[in-house]
Amino acid sequence: MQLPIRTHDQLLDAASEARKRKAPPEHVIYLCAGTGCRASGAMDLAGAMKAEIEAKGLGNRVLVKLTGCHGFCEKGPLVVHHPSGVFYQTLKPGDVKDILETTIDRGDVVERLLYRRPGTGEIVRLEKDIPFYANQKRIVFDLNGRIDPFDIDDYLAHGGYVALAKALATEPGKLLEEVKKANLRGRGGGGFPAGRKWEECRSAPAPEGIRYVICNADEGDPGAFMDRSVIEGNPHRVIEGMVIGAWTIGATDGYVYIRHEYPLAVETLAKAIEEARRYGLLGSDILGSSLSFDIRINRGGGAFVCGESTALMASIEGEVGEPRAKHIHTAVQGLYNRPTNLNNVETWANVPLIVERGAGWFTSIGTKGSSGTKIFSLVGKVANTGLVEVPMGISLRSLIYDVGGGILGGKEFKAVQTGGPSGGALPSSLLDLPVDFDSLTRAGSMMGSGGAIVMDEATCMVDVARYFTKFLEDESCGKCVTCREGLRQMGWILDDVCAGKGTRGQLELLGDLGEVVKEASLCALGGTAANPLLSTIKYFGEEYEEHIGEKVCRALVCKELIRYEILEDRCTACGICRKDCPTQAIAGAKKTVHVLDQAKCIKCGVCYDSCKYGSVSVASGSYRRVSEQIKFKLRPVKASA
Amino acid sequence: MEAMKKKPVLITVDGRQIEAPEETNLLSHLLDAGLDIPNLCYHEAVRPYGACRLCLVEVNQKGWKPEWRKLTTSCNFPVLDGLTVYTDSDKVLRHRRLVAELLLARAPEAGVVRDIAAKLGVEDTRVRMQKGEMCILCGLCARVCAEVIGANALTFRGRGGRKDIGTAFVEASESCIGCGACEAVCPTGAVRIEDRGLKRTLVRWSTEHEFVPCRVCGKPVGTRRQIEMLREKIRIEEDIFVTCPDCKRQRYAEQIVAEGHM
Amino acid sequence: MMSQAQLDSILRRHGYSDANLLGILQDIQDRENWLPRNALENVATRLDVPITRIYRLATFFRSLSLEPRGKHVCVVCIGTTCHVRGAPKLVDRIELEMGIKAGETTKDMLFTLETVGCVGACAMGPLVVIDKKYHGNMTMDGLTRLVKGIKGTPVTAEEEE
Repeated sequence: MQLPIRTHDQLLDAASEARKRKAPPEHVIYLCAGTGCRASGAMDLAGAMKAEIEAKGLGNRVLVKLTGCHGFCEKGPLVVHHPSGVFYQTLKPGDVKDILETTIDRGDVVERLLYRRPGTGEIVRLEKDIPFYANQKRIVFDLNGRIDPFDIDDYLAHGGYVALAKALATEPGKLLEEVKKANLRGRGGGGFPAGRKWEECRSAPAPEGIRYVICNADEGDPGAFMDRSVIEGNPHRVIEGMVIGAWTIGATDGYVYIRHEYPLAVETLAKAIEEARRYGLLGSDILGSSLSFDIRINRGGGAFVCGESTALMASIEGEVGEPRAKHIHTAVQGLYNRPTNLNNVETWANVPLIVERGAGWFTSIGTKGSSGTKIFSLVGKVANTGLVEVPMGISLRSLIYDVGGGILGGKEFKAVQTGGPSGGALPSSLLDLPVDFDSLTRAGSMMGSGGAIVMDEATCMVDVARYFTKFLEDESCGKCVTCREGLRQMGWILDDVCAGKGTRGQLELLGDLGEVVKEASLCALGGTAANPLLSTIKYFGEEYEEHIGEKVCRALVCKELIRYEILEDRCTACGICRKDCPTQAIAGAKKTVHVLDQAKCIKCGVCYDSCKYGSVSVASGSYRRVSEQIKFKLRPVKASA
Repeated sequence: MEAMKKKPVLITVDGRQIEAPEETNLLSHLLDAGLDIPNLCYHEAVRPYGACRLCLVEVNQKGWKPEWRKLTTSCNFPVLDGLTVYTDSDKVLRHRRLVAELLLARAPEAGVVRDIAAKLGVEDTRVRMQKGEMCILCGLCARVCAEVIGANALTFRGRGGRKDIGTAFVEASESCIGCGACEAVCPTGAVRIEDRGLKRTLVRWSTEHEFVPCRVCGKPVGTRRQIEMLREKIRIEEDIFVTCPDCKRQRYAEQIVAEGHM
Repeated sequence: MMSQAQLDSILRRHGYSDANLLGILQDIQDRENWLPRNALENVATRLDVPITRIYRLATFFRSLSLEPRGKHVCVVCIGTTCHVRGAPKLVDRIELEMGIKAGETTKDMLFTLETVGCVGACAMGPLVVIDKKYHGNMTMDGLTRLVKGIKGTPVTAEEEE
């Protein structure tokens, strides 16, 4: 291979060379090594698998390939077998022998490791048949479970950088038209048409000839991890998108701002940038063209507000992440006051696909106003949690029930929170809403970066509003009075409501405060900060009423409104709650029914969690829940007395 | 000086036409036109900051539909050709009042905050009041210290609800020159300086300075560090640094009398 | 303690540019586990920036610590998903076990407890990251085991179950 690559033909040669080199042996085990699976022990599994393959002398017949995030994080550690396409989940190192003997040696499946449909328990053998995957349309994520993110050759072997070669042979003006025609809208939350932003940046005066492109990977919405997985799974796609963008806009330097909490993403991207430079895909005269462009990684410092574009740019300049008023778009005057085009990770990742397959293909997916797909982080009380890529326009119901498999544990759906702290909670009456930019905004929420947190009856919506308000108060840069003082006061009032000290007058006050924070704050953090509160008041007003009027929390969450009790006719005197109680509030002995001293109880819920005999209840008003009965060995003390 | 290079344009404010240089900040012209726009964090000596949110107005830009209005602070909004400004619409007043309520809660004992609130018709606040706090985090002290004086002795600390302002490491500052500019610009009196004899104490910053006495009358001329800094910046006759203004005037007067000229 | 040479190599790596202050501070903390004051004053002198600017950055960004941190840094994710899956209870529990509040370090410098808005492994919530290792689907029992492991206290047979 001739490096650096200097022509389109050389690129094709490099790709076919890579395909030959990467030609898989008889068996490939794609093992997910994204952050989520690592958290459940994927690396131990990988070690065990490699060792066993070595021990059995299968080294030249079986390849273990560590890939980026497959998206089905809940079932991790997981593997997919090639060529059969069998999907194994929740694996432990102890399962390795079974897999190798059954699937590799005998060509059969290990049933106990297969996916089971929730409810029926029916097994599904192949990855493509699992509803979680079958109902997705994976175009940005297409290579995520298949390539080694640390190896550029793998990306080349799968057609990588062909879009870039095509772009460099196209006049930037034409490329811009294609991106505009595709109606690619920002995937980071704003939903602003990328083509228009590119155009504004491209035509903004740049006296020194310097323009910047920035990739916003400061994914701070709690509950969202799409961008992390795109970078960890296929970093070169993002780089390719940025280079195409630089060529179209006329940019000279690029930055990727990755939040501090994503060390693996930083590592993966850093390696990819290094490789891209070596291959001549970054740096001077890219692919032999007149484009000279390079990318630098900036790590965030632990500040959600740095996801706001002006704060992000301030941070790159070495200042704190304080937003500034945007009367002049950053596309015209941004980083160092120069024209800057900032887009989200997922937005950039769509660019090579659009260039390669055309705007027409892109607009054939999704809806008229929102073309293409969107990656959602479907988490919370849903059966199949993880990352899903679906076409825009799919209904919330389909997303949650078809892809997500419905509510966990057969409970009742209560709400789905979209858009993170800038969004709102939508109730079951809105489940048939199509998921696209405009419908969600009209309903009082927003698409945001793609977080979709599903909540059931055990989630208190007032507590959720309080949680987001406190989160935003803490993350607020603190510059403007409305956001800083307004959120602080809102947080205090919500504390009162959750503690049973709220009044109706305070509800009205919350409305006023929400309004001034929304209308008079300096940046979008403040501008959207009232959404969680306002949407929960709108759709879940009865819960606020109950907290204020009856001092009741129906979800049994708010500590001052709930009461734990040991059920004397079910207590088996096993003694675990007494031992675990951090304030020694439980009195009892062997064969004596245990009793909880309410005065000492701090409502931590440990007794409820540790009781295995279903003998602890939690109640608020007429709402009550009893701890789950897992063991049945001992008989209740009271019954045997 | 810069303003003179900018093209003068016409804007409409509450129905009245005003001429102002393009791209200069809107608030300064509204104030010049005699309008009583409340503001606390604005000061012509430093760049606009947009923190207090009192100077809110509604604007309609040329090319917008006539009914479109944007609520914005005027201190950091540029004068634009054909801009229409509404300084006392219902929406503006409503939000100014809510901002005043928040400020009143933050610094209830600050006279200037009470005055501004009272003028807006806000006598009391419905939200939780903080006691004993005069600072509204307008940042003027730090901004002046950085942009005008160049000492950079003050900075914001932290963020969000716990944001504060002061010296590095919350102790006596080695960069402070004791000039007192911070106290001069502080709108609420949160920055207090106590001068006793030849000692100056910047109470809020826990920093002390020694005054250089006038070699004629012994009154304080300036702090030692302030004079050092001036010495470095301005090359003039040494005596001027150690003579107080009164004695300087006296000396020049005597000189004129004696020599018939300066 | 960081030597001048080590500090200089960090500054050199960042081109002695004040635009890279955040990165410089992060590298110092990666080495020292916190931001010692003399290192910050050194950077201020070398780069000719006011110490107040560095102090402002160090107090604004949560990942940076102006106080020495413990041998074991434990981060509990309190993102929305982890929150609805019981993260606050985990935080309460660690605070009780270790005798410190979130943001603090134990007196024997063994253990620092921090909370963070989201670590991006939301399907595995609640999540605890100890010494940069991620532990997903954390239960009360699992947490007790982990924390006791750090303290060096033996785990009882019942807890093992």
